[in-house]
Amino acid sequence: MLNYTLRRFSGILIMLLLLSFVTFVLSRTVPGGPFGKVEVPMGEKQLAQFKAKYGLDKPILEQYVTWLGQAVRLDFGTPFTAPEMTVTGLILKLLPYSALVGFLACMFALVVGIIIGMVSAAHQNSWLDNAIVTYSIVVGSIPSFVLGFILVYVFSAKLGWFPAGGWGGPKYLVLPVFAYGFPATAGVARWTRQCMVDVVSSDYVRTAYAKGLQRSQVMSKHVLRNALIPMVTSFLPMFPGMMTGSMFIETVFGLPGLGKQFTLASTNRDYPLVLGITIFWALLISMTYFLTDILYGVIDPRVRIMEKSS
Amino acid sequence: MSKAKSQRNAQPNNTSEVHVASNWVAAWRRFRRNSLAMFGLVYFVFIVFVAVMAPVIAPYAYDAVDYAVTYQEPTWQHVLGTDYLGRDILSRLMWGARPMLLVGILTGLVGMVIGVPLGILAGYLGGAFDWFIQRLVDLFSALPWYLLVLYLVMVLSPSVMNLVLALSISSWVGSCRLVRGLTLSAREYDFVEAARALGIPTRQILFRHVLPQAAPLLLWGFASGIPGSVFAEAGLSYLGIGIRPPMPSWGQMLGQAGNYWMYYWHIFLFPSLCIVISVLAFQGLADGLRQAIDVNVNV
Amino acid sequence: MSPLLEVKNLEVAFFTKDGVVRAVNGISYSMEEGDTLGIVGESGCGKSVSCMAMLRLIPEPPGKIMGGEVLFDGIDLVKMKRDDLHSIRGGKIAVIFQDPMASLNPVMTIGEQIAEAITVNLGQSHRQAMERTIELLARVGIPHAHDRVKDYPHQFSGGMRQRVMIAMAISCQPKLLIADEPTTSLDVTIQAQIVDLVQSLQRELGMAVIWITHDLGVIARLAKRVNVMYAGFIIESGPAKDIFRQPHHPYTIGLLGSVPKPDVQGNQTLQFIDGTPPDMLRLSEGCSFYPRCPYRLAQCEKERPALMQVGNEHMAACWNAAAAAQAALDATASGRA
Repeated sequence: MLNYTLRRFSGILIMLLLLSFVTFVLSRTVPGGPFGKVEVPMGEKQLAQFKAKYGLDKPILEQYVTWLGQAVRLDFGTPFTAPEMTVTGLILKLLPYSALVGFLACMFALVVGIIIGMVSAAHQNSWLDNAIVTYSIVVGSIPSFVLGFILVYVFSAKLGWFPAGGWGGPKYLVLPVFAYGFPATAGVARWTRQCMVDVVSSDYVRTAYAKGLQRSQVMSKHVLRNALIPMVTSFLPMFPGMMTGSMFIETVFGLPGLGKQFTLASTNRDYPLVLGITIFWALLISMTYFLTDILYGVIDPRVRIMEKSS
Repeated sequence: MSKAKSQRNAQPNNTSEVHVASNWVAAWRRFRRNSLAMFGLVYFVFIVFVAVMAPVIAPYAYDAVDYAVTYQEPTWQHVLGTDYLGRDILSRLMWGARPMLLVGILTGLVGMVIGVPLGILAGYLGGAFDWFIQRLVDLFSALPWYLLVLYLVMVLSPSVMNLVLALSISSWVGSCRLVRGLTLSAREYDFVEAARALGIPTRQILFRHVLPQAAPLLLWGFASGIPGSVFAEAGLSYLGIGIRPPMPSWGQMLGQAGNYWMYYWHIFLFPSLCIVISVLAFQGLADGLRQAIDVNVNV
Repeated sequence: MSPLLEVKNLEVAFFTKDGVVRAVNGISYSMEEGDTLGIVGESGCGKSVSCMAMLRLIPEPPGKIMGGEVLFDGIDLVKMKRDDLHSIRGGKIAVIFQDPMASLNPVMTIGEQIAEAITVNLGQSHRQAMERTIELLARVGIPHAHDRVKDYPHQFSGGMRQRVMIAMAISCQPKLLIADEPTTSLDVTIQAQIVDLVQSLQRELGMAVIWITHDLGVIARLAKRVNVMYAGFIIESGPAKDIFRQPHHPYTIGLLGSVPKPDVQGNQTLQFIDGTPPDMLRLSEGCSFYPRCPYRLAQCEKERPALMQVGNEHMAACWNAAAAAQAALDATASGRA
């Protein structure tokens, strides 16, 4: 178990190093950086001063190592577009907004999606099942920002029930959460249904019935337990994925979140900020995958034993 | 019931030709049964036609500005209305099919061009190379697609090809995994050992046996990547970092609508419908392909 | 003494997208307590379905019992509601399946799975059930039973897993054990062990056993009576010895003829039955074996033969049974010469 954990961990570490190196080099070596003549016109001397200040005149590798040294201490420098704050500070300031919306949307997607998926699986091949499968395909095809538009049009412009954007109380959260979470219910429902059907049609469920167990017992002790394994491993990564902020939702609804900031930063070629957010995201997501892997190792005895014996 | 199925498909034991032909026919029959998949196919043909013929069939030029008729709701003159610059929405939608298709299809193709060779090499060579490729796959699949795309778009100049390149950076993973899995399992097969004992180079084995097996699966993988690419292009263009003017794109039309779209339903409804229907159609197409070829692979 | 199991005209069909598959078309047989019945036939002939349907272990939809009765200890299982059958399953009738790896829950220890059967059917406490489980594992020949109780199915070999399944099946001392091709996926040597195990358990517990297989060798060792099935019909039925020595139905003859015989002198060409199994979506009005039968008559195409007496307790469904049987005897005699 320990072996397994360590191996996974080192893999992620290597991955992060690789990613940071590649993105770092990319941002430094490509022509037309933040000091390109179009974006920020400045004289030769000013340019040289700026470059010295940000250490841009040193060789790449040295820059990277310096950056790495700082990064490990979670110091990503200061953003070009907001020099009054640090990158880390800015990220931490914006994160709660994205996290809140993302978390609520994810919960919504999971609760609704799992219920629908289970209903669908329980009535396999009936009209209800077919309707739900169709629903999954259709709803899954609606991009979240399009849905956002529709919701704002109907509930904000026409009905005036909810504000069209901005941040305030819970009222400001309803439309974004729904726009973000609703299309996600489709994928959740589909996967839930798939996992349930796979298990329900398996031979060992037939054995459970053959042993004399009743339907409720089979469902709770065999079906759910086994179906939860693939479900949990797929659904857990949804949280960090959604809590880091959707660029689209935050732009449509004008939410002060990380996603919107990222798009702004990249259009403004604010390298420290972009790099910082990238690494942050990568870190968060790899940690989640890592935790999910561990969790998988804990719940599924096959993995546990394999690792023990290897 | 599988037993009944095997009875039904019981063939006279003459040639294997019969089996191959019947496989494609059977696949087509399965595909045809899925109405959403058929819709997807029809729509695909239709939209390709529209995209190709846009210069001919569009009533107006996509950049024909007419300040006299800005924000007009649908009329006989402008069947779908006009936008904030008086440009005809229908024409712009027709032209907008081009970047959508280009990005959607090219992304999948480029993704395969990158992913398939890497996958074969990884499976064939094994060892450190394989380990490295696998780490790359882990890396690229762990990151959200827009991260990489935004980075590349930021670093490179905005153009359709660069957008395609950026999007395929995250999509190559699927085909790579698939092909690697197939190559690995092909190496295990006894017939590969037998062939090698006969002196047939492994290269030939891979081409003769692995790739044909992979073909339908790759087709399906390609098709299932299209909805995502369409969605990505629409989203990015909406944010202003995808397809830039003057070439119209449906997402871009949504983004350009500004703050007034709330009062002009036609400006956002029609591009939205186009996006949704396209994603839906390609989704259905991919799903139909999956059913048709009975995807049952453990990568 | 009334029979333990009486099957009367059982009909099972599957309603699929391509049509109705008539998997079982009116079969009847009976068994006494402690009997051993072998059901032979090729894949798709309905042998598994007929037994699984008795316990309603077939998916419904698309499956459905179209008619007939299955009297077990006097109760008609067909008339019972599917959800009520749990009282029969496990405790009175138990099943062992073909693929023990797929048939055992991969994330539960085998001890838990066996104990579950005991607590559910016999109402014992968990501790008692675990004790009994260890005894059972030892009885079926699993060494270090006490330790292995905590192991998972993937930690056992194929043969061991099948023993686990057997332990689970006999845990509640059922009156009838249905063995659905339990040795098909095992090595020949392990097969023999499993067959021996089932036989000894049968003697010990006084169970009746239905052994479903396409392997004639197993039947020869085990069964007292045999039902040969084809296309959902029982086409020959009788004491095992008689069927082996004097097969009457052309299909049975073909089946027996296709087994290479080690004691035959000189060269032998391997006999096989020409043609392919019938399309279960479209049953003919005549004999289902007609297209492949070397002894067919004109009337066979139009009229389906019912089971007719051809010997002492020996029945065959063939219009030309006598001629076929004679030809078969002649062939065997000349083969040995």
